[in-house]
Amino acid sequence: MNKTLLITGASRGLGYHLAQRATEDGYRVIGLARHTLPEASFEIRLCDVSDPAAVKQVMSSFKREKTLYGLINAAGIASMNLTLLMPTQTIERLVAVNLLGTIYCSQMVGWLLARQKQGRIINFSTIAVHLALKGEAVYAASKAGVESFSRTFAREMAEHGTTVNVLAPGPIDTDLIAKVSSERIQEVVNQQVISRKAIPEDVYQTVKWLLSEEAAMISGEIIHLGGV
Amino acid sequence: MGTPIREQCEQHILSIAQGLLASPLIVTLDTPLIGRDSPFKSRQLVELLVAVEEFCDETLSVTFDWTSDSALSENRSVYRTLETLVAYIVQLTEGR
Repeated sequence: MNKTLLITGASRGLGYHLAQRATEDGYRVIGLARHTLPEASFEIRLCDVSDPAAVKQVMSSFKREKTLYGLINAAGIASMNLTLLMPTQTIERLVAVNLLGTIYCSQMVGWLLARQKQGRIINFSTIAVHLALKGEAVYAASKAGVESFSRTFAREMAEHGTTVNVLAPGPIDTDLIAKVSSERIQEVVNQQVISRKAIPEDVYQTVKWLLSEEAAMISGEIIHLGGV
Repeated sequence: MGTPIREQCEQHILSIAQGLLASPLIVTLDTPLIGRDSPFKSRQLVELLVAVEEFCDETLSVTFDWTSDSALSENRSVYRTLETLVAYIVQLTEGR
């Protein structure tokens, strides 16, 4: 396969799993992350997605990359806390990484994919948006922004042959929810149509399908893994 | 009479722009690129800018940053007309 994928947040968690699996499936993966990962089976370039200048610098290096096919915006952070108790700095960081980071990367890669006249952009939201989970207002707001952005951006990119979709999974065992109690996780899982925690491979299989030619007519969709 | 680079830019960009428009409308340097008076659809504008970027890279050896604030600002954008776009590119070549 002669297709290159850019995957943000690729040094850990879900992003790492997606990057590993996509590499195994024959994609050339370039991970974007704030930290290197010597043992990774794919190339990693350093980039803080919340820094527009850094994003522009990294993405500009792919201008002549004729095989660029997709962007997976897996970089994300979470902070579960009541809004009234959340420091301003945390609020800003949540929005900067989850929402602005997704927009910065999508904008820059959008230009590159417009040159190719084809492509896939996959963004990440959360079941917390749909369920309005107490203690996740700011996190959910940042992800609701991702959903809204993606639905409209999908229309803008359709004329350039690029689909834009969002995966919104429930809880998955990664660092993102490491500090959340198992009781709280179970409460959320119980509200899903399929009452079990997703595993990273569930996410990859959906990503794999969205990347495929078979999903060429799927765009502007929010896919709730586990169902809501 | 313009400089050779200005003339080269004008000819090349007018040619690309004309080729993108399916209508019989004749493109001139005054043709707006953005706003309600622009004959270009959003797809055509993006295709024009991608072609201009390649022209800048490959022929003029300058980097055309399509997402810079000065390029994207509605009021003072270099995308106001083909003429402002050409002027911006000429300015880039002067800074080489």
